[in-house]
Amino acid sequence: MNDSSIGVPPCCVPNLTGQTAPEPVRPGEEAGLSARIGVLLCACGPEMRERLDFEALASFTSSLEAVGHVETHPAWCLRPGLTRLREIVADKGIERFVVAGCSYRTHRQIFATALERCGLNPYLFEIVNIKEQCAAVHPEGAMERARGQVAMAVARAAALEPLEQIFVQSEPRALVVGASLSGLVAAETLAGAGIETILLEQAGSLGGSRPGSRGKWLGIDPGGDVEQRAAALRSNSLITIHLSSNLVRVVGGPGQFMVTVRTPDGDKDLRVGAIVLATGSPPAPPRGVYGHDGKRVRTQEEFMNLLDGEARMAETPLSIVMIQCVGSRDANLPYCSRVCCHDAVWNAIDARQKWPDTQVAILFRDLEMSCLTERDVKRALEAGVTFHRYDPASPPEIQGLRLSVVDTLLGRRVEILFDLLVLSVGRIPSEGTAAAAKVLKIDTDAYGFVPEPVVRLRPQEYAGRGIYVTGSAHWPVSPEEAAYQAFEMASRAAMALQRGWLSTRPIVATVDESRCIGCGLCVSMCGFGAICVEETQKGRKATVRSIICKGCGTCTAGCPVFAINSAFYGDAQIAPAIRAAVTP
Amino acid sequence: MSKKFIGFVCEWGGYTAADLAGFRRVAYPADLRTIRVECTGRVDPVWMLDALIEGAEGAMIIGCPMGDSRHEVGNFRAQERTRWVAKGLALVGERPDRVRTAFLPSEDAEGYARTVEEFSRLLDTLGPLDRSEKGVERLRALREVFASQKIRWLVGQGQNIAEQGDAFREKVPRLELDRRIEDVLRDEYRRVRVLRGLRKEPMSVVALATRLELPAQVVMRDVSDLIGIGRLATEGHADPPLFREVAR
Repeated sequence: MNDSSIGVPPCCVPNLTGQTAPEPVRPGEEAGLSARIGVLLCACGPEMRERLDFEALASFTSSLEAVGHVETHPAWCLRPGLTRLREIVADKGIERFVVAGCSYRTHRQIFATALERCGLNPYLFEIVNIKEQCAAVHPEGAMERARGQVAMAVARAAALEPLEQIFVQSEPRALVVGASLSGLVAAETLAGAGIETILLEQAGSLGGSRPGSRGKWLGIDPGGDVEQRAAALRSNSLITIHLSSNLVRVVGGPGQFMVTVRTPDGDKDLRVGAIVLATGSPPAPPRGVYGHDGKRVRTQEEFMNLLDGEARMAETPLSIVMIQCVGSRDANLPYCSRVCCHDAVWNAIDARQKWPDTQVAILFRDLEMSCLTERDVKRALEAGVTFHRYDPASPPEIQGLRLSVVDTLLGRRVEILFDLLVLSVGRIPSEGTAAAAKVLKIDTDAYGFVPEPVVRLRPQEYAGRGIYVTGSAHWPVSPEEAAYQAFEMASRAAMALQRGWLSTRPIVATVDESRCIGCGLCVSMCGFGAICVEETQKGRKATVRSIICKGCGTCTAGCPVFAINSAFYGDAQIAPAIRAAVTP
Repeated sequence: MSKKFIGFVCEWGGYTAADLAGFRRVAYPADLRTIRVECTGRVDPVWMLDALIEGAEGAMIIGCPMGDSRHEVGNFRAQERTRWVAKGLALVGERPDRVRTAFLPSEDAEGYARTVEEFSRLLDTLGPLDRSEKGVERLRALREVFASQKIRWLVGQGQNIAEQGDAFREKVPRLELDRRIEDVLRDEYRRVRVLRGLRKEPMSVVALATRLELPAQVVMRDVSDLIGIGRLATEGHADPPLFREVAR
């Protein structure tokens, strides 16, 4: 609904200043003709006919001020009704309509489209629900309420103003922050769509933190070889790579971000239309727990080096013990990192295959295996890996090369001799995420990840439009998930960038600069970061970025000096409705 | 003629729940009149008072559950603003529960019907608002208070300070903060009454105090304060002196 492009002819983009287009003056407007309202009463459904007297309702409605035409029809939303609507527009010259029938949520679009086809402004139109919200729920008093609600809708409709879709031009360039796997996939996708892409990486090399195992969640290889992928990016002429670089400043809004990037060659100013955040999440530093030394006591990632043969031990290990949730899911890192159980199980299987004589034991708290990976636990058991469940209240203890733990499944203490200890340490948001979130002014959660604001309503969408968060910057994800998310987010970004413009519906807040005192209270009230206070020739004034504004009106209702107006839900429209509501 | 009350419903929570109540045929009293808004955050405190002044017996806001709003923070603001309108109503001698908020998920049709019914029943028990000239004048004064820059700023900024801390990032206890804002609200309400009393005709302090049923010393102090900020001026050279509001 929010981004619905009602009547956007893609070929003609009228006004690219980011402001509402000037209101078109319609013939007869000065004469007050357009204030005449057509009220369409819809008589569908048994309760409607049973509980409402449409003749009486029609005569009541015609007696209301500014009503020019009232007509009852069995179903205005169907073809015969809409054809009749077109006739009314043509014959009576009525430009404002109130439909009394079904819900605004389900039927607004039908009538808005029909009115647009007649050449009318779809915002000079209001629906009042006298079906679900009146006839269906009031065995008594339905008529009284219908009369009240229709009078309110008419009063409101008389005060509506024509509004035009808002357009903003978009820079045909994208910035990808972070060259983690998801960053690489995002850059590749964007460049594949023909979009000039700038890839920014804090570290000196591409690829981000390596995965903790070679296992596959969905059985598909998502990223391919990171090295190959990075090489392909380096030779792509559409991609500019800045290593050892940071994002230091972002101003502007979706479609037109002005970005400053600090590179070893000095600061560079760029103009981009979209920003993809792909900063990843590295393993938490083990901080010496269980005597971590990177040799005999390793993290899963360091153990991967052994399995791959990149690092060597003096002797083949005889007994490997893996401990899960080390320094994780405790007071410091209270969340589950999702990926470590998978890594441990797969590395255990790989270890048994590489060294068939080596014992492997996994000490876990809760084995969190998602997707199709549950079956890999069975594979691990078949491969001879042993599992012990421990209680976080009495974690495994080590003394020399002897580990002792109370197995809560067996209900007794188990002692294991080991010569290699592998720790699953969990993942933390990267420093890059925190730095970028601060510059981009987007919220992070209690742990430092960048969450979706309302996952149920807007999955994969973030508070700031034009900013796309992907991969482990969002939450620890597997390489496959990272690649898929990056592909999805980059595709979304590419759609807007290829088109060259963004649009939003005109139900947004606007500031009356002559009234604004620049106090900035609205800035703190906006949940979307759509308002900022800027220094102008007339002093400090608030400005609303229409393309970000969702039109909720929280700023409007809180403005100390009534300097903000919410289009479509302004004081001018609601006050008459309140008055009409209580008029006997 | 039965009583009426206004329900400000957000498109995504209250309005959707009301639609669903219709689909499921969950009946509720017909004395509700709904006004759809984009988000409950749009509901101006002044609207709620307007509703009461114009003739509604109560006003309620029905929106999405906290933390589950399509508009992030709107319902938090709506709740806080309603809390202050309720405190204002108590100040003018009306029952504060004539304004209330309800936040329920859009799929809770029964909850919507129950909320409306409970409120309707409550308003029946409370009986009609004091619609005497004096009673309406008090509500109008309260409306002016909630339209004033000072109170609107305090209500908004007060919530910021309570939730995010003050300029030093120090959290101020809610109770203490409330008490301070309440003091300002009370003073502002009294001053608005004084101003409104002197708007139509110039009057002496004693005459005004009698009309407002306030102690003359209190009115005197307000009058001198208001002269200090240029809102009042003396009229002529009568004895005792007459005061009038300075037109702005």
